[in-house]
Amino acid sequence: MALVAAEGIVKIYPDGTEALRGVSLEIRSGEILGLLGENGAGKTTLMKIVSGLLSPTHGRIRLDGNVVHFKMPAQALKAGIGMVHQHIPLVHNFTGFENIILGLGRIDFEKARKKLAELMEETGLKVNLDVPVENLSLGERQRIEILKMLFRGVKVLILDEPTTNLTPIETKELFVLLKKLAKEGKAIVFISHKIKEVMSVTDRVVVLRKGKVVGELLTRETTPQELASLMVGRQVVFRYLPKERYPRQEDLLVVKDLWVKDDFKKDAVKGISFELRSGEILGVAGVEGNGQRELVEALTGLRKVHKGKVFLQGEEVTNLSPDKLSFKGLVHIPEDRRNFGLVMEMNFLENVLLGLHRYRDFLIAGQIINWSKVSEHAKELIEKYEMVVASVKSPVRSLSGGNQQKLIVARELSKNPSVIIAANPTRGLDVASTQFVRNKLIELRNRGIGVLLVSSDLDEVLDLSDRIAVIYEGRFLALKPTKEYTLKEIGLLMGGVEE
Amino acid sequence: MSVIIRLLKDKYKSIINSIIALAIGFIGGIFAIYVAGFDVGEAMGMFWAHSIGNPFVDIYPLTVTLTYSAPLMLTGLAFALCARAGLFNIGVEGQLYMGALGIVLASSMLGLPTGLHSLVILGGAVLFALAWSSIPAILKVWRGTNEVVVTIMLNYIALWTADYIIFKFYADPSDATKSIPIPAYARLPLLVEGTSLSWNIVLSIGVVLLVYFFLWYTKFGYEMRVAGTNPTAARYAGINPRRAVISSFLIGGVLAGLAAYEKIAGIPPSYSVMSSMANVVGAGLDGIAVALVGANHPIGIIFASFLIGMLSAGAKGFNLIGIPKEVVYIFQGVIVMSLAVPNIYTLIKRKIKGVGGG
Repeated sequence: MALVAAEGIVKIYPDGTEALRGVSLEIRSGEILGLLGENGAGKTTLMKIVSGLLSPTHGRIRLDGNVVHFKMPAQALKAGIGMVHQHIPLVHNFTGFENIILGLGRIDFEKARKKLAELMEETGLKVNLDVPVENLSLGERQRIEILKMLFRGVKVLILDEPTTNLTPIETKELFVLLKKLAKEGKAIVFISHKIKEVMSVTDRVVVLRKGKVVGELLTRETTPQELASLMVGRQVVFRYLPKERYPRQEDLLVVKDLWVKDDFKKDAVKGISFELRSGEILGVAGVEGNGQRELVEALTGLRKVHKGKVFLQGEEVTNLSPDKLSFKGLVHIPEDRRNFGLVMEMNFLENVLLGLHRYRDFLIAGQIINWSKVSEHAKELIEKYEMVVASVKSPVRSLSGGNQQKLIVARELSKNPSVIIAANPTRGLDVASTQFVRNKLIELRNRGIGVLLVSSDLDEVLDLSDRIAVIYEGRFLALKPTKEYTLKEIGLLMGGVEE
Repeated sequence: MSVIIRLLKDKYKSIINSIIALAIGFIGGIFAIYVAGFDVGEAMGMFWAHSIGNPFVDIYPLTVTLTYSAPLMLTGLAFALCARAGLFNIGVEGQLYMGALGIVLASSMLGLPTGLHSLVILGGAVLFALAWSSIPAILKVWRGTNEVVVTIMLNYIALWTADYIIFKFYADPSDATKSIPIPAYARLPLLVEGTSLSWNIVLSIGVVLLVYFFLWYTKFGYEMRVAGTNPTAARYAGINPRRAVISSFLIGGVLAGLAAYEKIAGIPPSYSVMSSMANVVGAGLDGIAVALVGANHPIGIIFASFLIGMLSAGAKGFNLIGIPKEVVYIFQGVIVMSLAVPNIYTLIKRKIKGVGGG
């Protein structure tokens, strides 16, 4: 019997977007339901409605057979429906414990701690509850959020793309946990666009496409191929540009014995050395939180190099500021586009200028901004990168994630770089944008630019890189051509196992 | 259709917000007058007559309003500029006092050639205010102190320091309630003879336009806005957020100094500082209201300073029919409150309609 039933849900956003066009589905106890669909299929919107964050335009939600109208997530949570969002809404400067008990009113801290300790023991969800969550990795924050839901005794646990920020090992652990929770009688909803994961963890799958249910199947009776064709209406295979050999092989970026500290003054990068050559993509594979962020920030001028040296085309550039580095030809496609690459409150034009504002081309007498030049440049980029933008004065916030990322890539590449440092450049993008960005990197590589691709998406690293370095606890455990690895070997190295 | 309305709403949201707040403020003030038992029609008639009147017949009431507006434009701008750089600068008030002190000290330096002396007086206003505003900037950048707390404390220190020095050493020998006056040649000339309106208003509007250009058309202004809205993105783009903090405070200091100069060198008849800084007090804090109503936008600030100036001018009208002139603070207070708490409205809407429905 259905614990939660959505009936004929229609959601039209104020801007006229039809996110859901009559969706019905059932969530059952003791079962993991996969909600599969591409970006924009309406998966998240549907579950936000179930968990009380949005109200539907038409249709209703039944809980245990009774119609319910949740006005806010707190009400849904009280009724036993909890959602773990992709961008986890925790209070950054509160500890995990404070976040978990937030909103519960007067409770006995000691008892709460005991209960949490038991929960952690029982579920295997181990996490430090006494440091501010801003100092924790995204995977750890997710565990806190799940703990928070379990602590409140939810009956329905909805997870929105929960593996996006997880390492392969963390993902495995999460799956074990979800299966265990389902066995105990909880209803789990697993939102994802990753077919492999849906196949391995769910009992039943509902496939959404463009706001409608296009299939409901039992996982054991379906195949990945069937799910894929339902999900996109076509087979998804990335079509990459052919890689061409670049004739002049020279070292563009040389890193010698690099040491970098993290925010807690602990060594995060411990003596990394490598050369990035012209016309190659050097992939850095590894489980998130092994020093990738610190490595990227140190190379791009955002974090101090503690020890070691960096050379760009033979010239020492250790600890230069980001603008100086970009003048010298090193640009950065950051992983966190909302915070680093863009100023969300500003418009498209002002974001095109970001970082380009020190370039003479866009200045009059070196001080005054030549907005008509900027506007020309913006229009050129829009055309060249096929961005969908209402007007150059539109706020960047109103752009889709794919277009935001295209804007960053377009802007950085227009600086005419010789070295690109790309960190998770396709995270959270849909299939088309992902293919676009990846092909762009291949195209640049073919033109002789050196690309350092730091990504936690192993498929991405394997598909694009000429050589791969595996990073573990701040060190490169291996660095060799992609063909010389076996998949098993990379997996083991990512887990810190050297043969 | 709804898309178009939404776009319009986004673009003009702050303007609409300000207009609604002004309306609520006036309703609140009028209600207070009514409850206190006065004739609302007569009161508002007097208010209008003393703040605007009929400028084609008699321009005097309008000049009173503009005289109040001019320095408020600058203090409001000083606050807004810092807000654009991500700072809450309460210190304009204290910088005004210091600017006033600078003016008095410079005025006492008799014997200089008149042209030079005028410049020294203007420079004294600006430099003293600038020096005072650099204190919170330095503390913020070097020690990470909170600028709100520091500037509030500095305001009091400035008030009593300036008041003590001026009236201990530089009181007017013929009238101890005033400081020595600014020499005639260093005063801002009158714009309309027979009124109190001087070139103040021209100076203020010019400075506002200059700052507008600075913020939206110069590299430096752009960097400041980026650093104020997203310090992380600023660092990514090679902008030093600290530089933005320091510069916005310093430019704010210059604006405060100019405001002090306008207050003392540009308003007849005293051309001096009154005891307890009576003719300077409040202009800095009113500037916050101006910046809020003007949505921290230079052009908005021109209009906002006019409205707040109108309240000060119209207060005299209230006074003449026995209504305490402090009633204008009710107007102003309600306006600021309705601007400061728009979130409450969203919250109420959520409670009633449920989230995300609209």
